[in-house]
Amino acid sequence: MRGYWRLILALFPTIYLGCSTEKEYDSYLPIIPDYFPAIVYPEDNFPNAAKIALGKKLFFDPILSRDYSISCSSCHHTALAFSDGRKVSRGVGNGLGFRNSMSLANVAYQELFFRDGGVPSLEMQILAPFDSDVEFNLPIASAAERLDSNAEYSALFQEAFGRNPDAFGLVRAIAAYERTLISANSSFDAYFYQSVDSAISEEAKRGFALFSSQKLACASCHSGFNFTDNSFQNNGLKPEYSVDLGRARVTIKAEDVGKFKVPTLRNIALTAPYMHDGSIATLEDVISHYESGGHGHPNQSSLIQGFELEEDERQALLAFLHSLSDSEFIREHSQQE
Amino acid sequence: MKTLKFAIYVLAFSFLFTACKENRGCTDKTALNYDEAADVNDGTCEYEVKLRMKFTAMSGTDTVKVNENYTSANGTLIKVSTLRFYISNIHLTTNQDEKILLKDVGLIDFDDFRSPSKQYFADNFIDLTTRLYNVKNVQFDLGLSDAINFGDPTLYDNDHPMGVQLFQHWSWSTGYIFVKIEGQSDSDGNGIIDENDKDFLIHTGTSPLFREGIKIEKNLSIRGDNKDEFNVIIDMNTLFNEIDLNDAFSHTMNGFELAEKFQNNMAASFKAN
Repeated sequence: MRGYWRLILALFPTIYLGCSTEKEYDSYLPIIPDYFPAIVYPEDNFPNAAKIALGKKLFFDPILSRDYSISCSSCHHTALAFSDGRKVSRGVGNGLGFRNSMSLANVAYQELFFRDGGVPSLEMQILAPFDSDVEFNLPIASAAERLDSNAEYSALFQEAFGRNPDAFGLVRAIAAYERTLISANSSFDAYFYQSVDSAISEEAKRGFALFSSQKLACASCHSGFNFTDNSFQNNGLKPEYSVDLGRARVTIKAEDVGKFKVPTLRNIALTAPYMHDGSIATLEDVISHYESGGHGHPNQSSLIQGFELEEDERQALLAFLHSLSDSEFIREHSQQE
Repeated sequence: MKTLKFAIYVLAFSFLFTACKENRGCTDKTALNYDEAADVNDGTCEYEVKLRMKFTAMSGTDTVKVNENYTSANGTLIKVSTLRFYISNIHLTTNQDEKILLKDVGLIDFDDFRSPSKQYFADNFIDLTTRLYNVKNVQFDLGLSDAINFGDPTLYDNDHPMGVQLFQHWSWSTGYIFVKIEGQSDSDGNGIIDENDKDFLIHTGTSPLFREGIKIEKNLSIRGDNKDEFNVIIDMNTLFNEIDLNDAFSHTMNGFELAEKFQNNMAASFKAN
């Protein structure tokens, strides 16, 4: 019997080190709770520690903009769940974009990118700020040349991709980092998925019931683990759409005018202002918009019918929406910044 | 005597044996159809030769150059500053009706376009590799088929015509810009083109504007002296037919009708020289 213990003690360091190595190997990946699906990585961009570290460095580095004034993080602040708090974003030379910056939380689960869904991969989405004269305004080939002349970046690209800095590695590194931005630890998650009944208030629970009710029909589109069905909907925000056609900008179909991607509601209290053009300043006003039933554009979703709320119901709905904020996610990424 | 007879038999047999072994074919290792098993050259060797496909913009009998004014058939003074477009699936048809693929994709530019990385150079011609054919026609598509249009441009090397460094890709929407044409017309009609005149810009793309099977009928015997040219004219009057250049601005999605009209014109504007 004593012999068995000796054997176990002798093997323990090996077993322990083996597990430890395995844990270290995976430590660069985000923890995915069992109530979230597994992330599907593109075949040509499986994550590794070097890629993610490089992507994170690039994300916060203004070297990618023409005048070295802005980085990805300029329009995607960690403290605001990777949105920017502006109606529309500003690029180099204070140039104004034409859409509200979207949160990057759980971007790993998106299938189409931008509010009109014009881009089919996270890697290809990263090309856009380079081309836009109101974002980085620097050809990505020129950005890659800048990085190539930087010894530190050259070494990091070699480590991550085995090649010198180029557009291929640049977009893949940033995408690899952005796929680590998993937000799954809100108070609501603790209540709903982890059965901690006290995690949210009774008022927020009533708000969730309202949110899920047929009367409000919010959950018809804001459904699932990420509170979006990733569909494109015209929510009746405007009587006509001339500045931004939404999904029709990509499909050239009249029936897609005014349709925009349904955003996640995770961290929604942190990502004001709202709508594709940032035209609604507060969550209270967003609720009022849906209460009004929209402006009746021909493409308006039939789900936007309008409803009436008592004041306590409105407050309950707001309490629920606030319970979707993930302070751990914000704290974790703010510390890393 | 016996020995002599035996020697004759051996000699005859060896001739017979050698004749049976003779293998005719192309014995030149530099030829495209080099036959490793051939020991007698039968004169069928084929070699790679260069065929230059050259595009010339014309208005009537006048050659149109970028950044130079020209007068259209209806008397409008026009200056084109950019004319760049993709052709794809470029192939020729021989007199024997054999279809030969020459190149998957080519980028034509009338202003000696060079990418920022200096690794890609586009001009108003592309050099194609082929063989000594008697050509009946050359065919190509204007733009890129869905199969290649929706890919990731960062996957291409910097010396590829679909590389990301060429600004021919719409990063806010999937796909490439098939045709870029920009310039000015004498919109105020004062006989000169200056800063007071309106710019025009038409960038076409998307699946509905891909134009297949543009055929240029022209007989050409490829001589293989590296001076063979297949010349194609772009008729600028067809290109702008029924397009009001005073009000011509389209990135396709924000002006589909104009983009479609222009793309149809362009597909019809290619002619044999």
